[in-house]
Amino acid sequence: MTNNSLMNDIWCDRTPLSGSWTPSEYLFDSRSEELMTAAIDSIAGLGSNWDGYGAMAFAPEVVQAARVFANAIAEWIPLPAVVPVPNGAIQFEWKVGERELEFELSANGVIRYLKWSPSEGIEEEGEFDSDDLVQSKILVSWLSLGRKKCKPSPAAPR
Amino acid sequence: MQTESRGPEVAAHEELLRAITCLSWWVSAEKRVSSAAFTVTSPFSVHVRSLTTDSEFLGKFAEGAGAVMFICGPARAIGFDTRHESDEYDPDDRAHAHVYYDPNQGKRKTNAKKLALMTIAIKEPTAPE
Repeated sequence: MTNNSLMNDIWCDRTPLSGSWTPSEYLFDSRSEELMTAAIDSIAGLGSNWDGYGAMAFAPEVVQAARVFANAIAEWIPLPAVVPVPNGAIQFEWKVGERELEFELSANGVIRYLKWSPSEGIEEEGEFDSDDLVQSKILVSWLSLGRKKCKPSPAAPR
Repeated sequence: MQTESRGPEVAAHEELLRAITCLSWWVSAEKRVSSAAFTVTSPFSVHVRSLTTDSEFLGKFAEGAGAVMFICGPARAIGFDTRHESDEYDPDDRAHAHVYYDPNQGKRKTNAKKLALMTIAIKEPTAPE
């Protein structure tokens, strides 16, 4: 299971190119596709047992599906964290205000999603095909409304 | 899912350790772990904290690895059943246990998220030098 020989090559940072990932912000970055591609490339380079618990290396099919998906969404979706999943999937994560959204992309081209907003009583998961961009946009629209639910700063006393 | 063939239940009060071996699983702004760390194939490995030490546990993983802890009982309440079972690759490791999750109960991602939020950081992961 565990392996002391795992060294630097297992590390894949949440921020592959620049800056710190700020989950409470809603960031559009002109380099979104570049950043996501770099993260996916980093995940693609992980060898077997990359998690120290015997996880398999990522299948070329899931890496390619993630690249295609990242390319398709880059222009209209806020910059996600792109993270490896021990079950062989690649996950895209966002947080806006108290709303969180996860897309878990599997080798079969299916995205399993999680909408998460405990303060609103929302815990919803389901799945759709990764080429169903309309469904992706609907979910991201829900996420983006999390900005409006952020508490405004208290007004200055008059 | 068959449960008869599993090892003995780990007591509800026990603290269970899981290594965080990927920096991108760590949401540093919120000092918490991503649900991705618990989106694993069942069963997955943990260590019973009372049967090891944090340093001994972390010594099994790569330099810079972090660790989180969750309590056995609350995790079992959302479907993560921990059994005291040996690691086939390290049978002398008596702190090892397996956590089973029945995929037929659904809500896999929801419960992975809940489990991630139950965890307490023992050591934050750091990039190796």
